[in-house]
Amino acid sequence: MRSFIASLVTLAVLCGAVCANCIYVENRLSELIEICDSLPDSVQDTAKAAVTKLCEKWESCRRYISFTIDHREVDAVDDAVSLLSVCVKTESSEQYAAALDQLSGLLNRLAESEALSLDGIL
Amino acid sequence: MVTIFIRTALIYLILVVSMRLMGKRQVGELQLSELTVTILLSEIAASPLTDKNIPFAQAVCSILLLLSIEVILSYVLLHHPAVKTALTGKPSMIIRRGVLDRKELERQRLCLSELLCALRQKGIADIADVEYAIMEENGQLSVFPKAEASPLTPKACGKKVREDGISHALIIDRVIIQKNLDAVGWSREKLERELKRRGAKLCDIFLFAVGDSGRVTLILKGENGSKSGTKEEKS
Repeated sequence: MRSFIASLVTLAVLCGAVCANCIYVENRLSELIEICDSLPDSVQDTAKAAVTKLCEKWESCRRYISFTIDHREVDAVDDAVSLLSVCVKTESSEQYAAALDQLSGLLNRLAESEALSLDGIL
Repeated sequence: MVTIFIRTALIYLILVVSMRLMGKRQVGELQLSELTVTILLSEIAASPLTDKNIPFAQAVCSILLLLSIEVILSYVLLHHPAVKTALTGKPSMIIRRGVLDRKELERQRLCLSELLCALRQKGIADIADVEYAIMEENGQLSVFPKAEASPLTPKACGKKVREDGISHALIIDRVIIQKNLDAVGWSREKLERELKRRGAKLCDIFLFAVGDSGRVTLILKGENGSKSGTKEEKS
């Protein structure tokens, strides 16, 4: 009976932790996607500030996200954020647009795979 | 993470149902759900070891989920026989009153040579000697030979024999096992007296055991640590 109750408690804690993690990751990723979508298509002064904000946001949640998400996907986003940051610093407009597209795609894909959906499970 | 969580639970269910459909012969010594957990655990535990890109938390979460499901399921099976029957099946009578049930044999997807092999492994050379053969839920074959082919027992001879019980090791390799000493109701003083009576010193003893019937087994250590002698006597 004790092991049964312990298992029920473990299962409840697990479900709670998984749901909390799911909500946290979803919220952080949607915030990042929102910032990404708000970025201008070309390198401007507003882009610099937004990219800095994006980098800070990513850095603040990266550690927690990599606890539960495949490190390859986290590393890919990491690389895309770094590339975008370099493009803004060097004011390279061509690479900036490509890096922005890449980052946006990666974040959307990550959000899709982490969201609770039948497609994700299957 | 939530995807992995749901996937683990789904794969567990799919595996349990698949193995149930595969029949008892696939199960072996473990219960069906235990076998499923064993298969999944080995795979899940190995994945973060071999692939450092897989987060540790994913594996821990899946393992805890499987263990919880397994304990909860075993509790449910214990208290709901109908669920247990549905999930693990019922024992199947392959040979009943000395008659082979061919339909049941086919249902269990066993061929005759496999049945004969299982009987030989149970020490039965002739199928005609078998009164009952039952395939248990865990895939093991229980065999009951006919009375004429059964080993002669004191009960069959109408003789009464004393129960010897089990032997309790009081000293193993010079170490006194207090728990066993308490179990046989001996004090340390009594143990020392018994050793003195037998001319044995604690530092020379490899095994000193006392049975429920009072039978004492003493094995001494040799100089090089090997067994040098055995004395068996009644205390």
